[in-house]
Amino acid sequence: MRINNVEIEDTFAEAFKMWASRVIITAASETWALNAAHSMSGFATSVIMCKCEAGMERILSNEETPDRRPGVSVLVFAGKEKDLVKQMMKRIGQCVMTCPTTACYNGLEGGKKVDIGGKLRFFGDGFQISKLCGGRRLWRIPVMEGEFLCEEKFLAREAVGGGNFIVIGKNAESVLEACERAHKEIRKIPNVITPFPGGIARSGSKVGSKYKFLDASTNTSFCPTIKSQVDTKLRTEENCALEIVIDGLAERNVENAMRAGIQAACTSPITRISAGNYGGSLGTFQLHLHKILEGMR
Amino acid sequence: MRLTLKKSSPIPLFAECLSPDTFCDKTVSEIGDLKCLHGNRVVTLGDFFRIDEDSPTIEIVGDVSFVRHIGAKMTIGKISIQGNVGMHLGAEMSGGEIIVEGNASDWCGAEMRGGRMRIRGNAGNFLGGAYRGSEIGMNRGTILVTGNAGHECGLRMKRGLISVQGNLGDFAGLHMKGGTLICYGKLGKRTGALMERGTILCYKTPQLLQTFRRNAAYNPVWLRFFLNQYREILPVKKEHIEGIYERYSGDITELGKGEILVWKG
Repeated sequence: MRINNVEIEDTFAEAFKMWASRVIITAASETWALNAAHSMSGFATSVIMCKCEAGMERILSNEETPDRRPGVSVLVFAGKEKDLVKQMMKRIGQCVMTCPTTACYNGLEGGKKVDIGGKLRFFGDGFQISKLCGGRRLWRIPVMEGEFLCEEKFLAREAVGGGNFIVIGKNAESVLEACERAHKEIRKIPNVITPFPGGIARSGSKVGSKYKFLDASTNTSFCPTIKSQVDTKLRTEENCALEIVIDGLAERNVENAMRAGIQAACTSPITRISAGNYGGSLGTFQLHLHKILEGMR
Repeated sequence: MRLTLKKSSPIPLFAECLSPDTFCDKTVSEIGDLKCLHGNRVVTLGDFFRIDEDSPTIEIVGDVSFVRHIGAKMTIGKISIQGNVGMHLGAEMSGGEIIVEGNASDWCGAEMRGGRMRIRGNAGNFLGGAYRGSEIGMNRGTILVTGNAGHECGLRMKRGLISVQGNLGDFAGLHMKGGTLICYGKLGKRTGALMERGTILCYKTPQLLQTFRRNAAYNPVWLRFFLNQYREILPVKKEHIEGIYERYSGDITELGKGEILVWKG
């Protein structure tokens, strides 16, 4: 298969079942909502080392937020429900509650209820106040600036993490530029995030390592500088590969994002689009590039 | 079901049967045969009302201010009253909706557990209150009064919302334990007396007890959320959402975790 003369490999991205939640952060201004969102989704690129993957989904207008202030929606993903709760607790507590003027609400409509504000409230040292409003319980925690408002229950649901595609080209500049275009298009797709810096990962990983203490190591078969030393997947003229990893609330969301991203990335001098997988032995989902891109060639 | 008042009486009629739960699956004649107490005498609903089956909800036409306990303990359905109504309207109700086009008497929504009540006229004393000897008054639900309300509004209220667009009598929020009481008009004396928790929101400066202490002037974010949630049923203005409120906490003779928020514009 070829799109704009770029080869689409007949392979698949291997994605995993994860747990996800959406956090709506509001603040007095968009700047402060973004400050909190950036802080909350910082150091959340991969569950391997960060214990969760998080990213800003989109900026919300005043009309879209529960308190009619500027807001941002953040998606958080983790392998297990209890890990998700733990990470949300830490990140809302340390990154949102600490950020001036912010408030924090559940942003999902369906899923399992998990207690976040109900635990964070203890920071109020007995001066916290609850308010039940339209069936939603909010906790008002006194802070030095006024009050931090946090919804008691957030919803968590099963989701899909690790959707990906690898952009391969002749030089680093063109591959990066193609990935930037892809990331820009993916950001328009709802219910997905790209957790890596700027949405792009340069250090894709493989399972295992020659070192026993390491669970994952560099994806040697896509590293151009050691092409001759390993069983490489890169061709002679290919000198760079970058990966875009996508987490989404549902499989179709990830597929939509992959489709939009690949389409935007497919321009010369990109040579190939591939995807990361482990031979289909680890992940629940196999997102086949040709199937996703059917009708787009 | 439309109930048109046939005759009034100076003696109260205790009509707890006048509720969608009781009317459910009953014919017109069966409803007419429902027993009520008129003073200490047993009468039927048909003795006082002409009953027609031409409304999907219960519609009561006439001044029924001598009829007590209408909609008491109701859980579903809707009652619409085209006139004034007597005591204990919707007492202990847990669901459904009651709309009163006239005034309501005392103990309206007493110990309410859910549902919604809208009174377009004035409400009497003990609106959403707790009965004597009871620890908890209104505990969920919404009461909206377009006119004034009497004394001891929200007595021992624990959850829910009471909104009064007119004035409130004395001792509003007495022994309040939670929930939100909003007054857009003037408040009487000793507002929030013996209050433990909960919020009294005032849009006119009340005369506060010495046992309430000023904390700060700020724009509460929770109120933005709250007022936006109830935007369709409350007279919310932009300046109410974005305005500054002075926060007083008390009553320090009790737990002292109640709050009175006074809108400063």
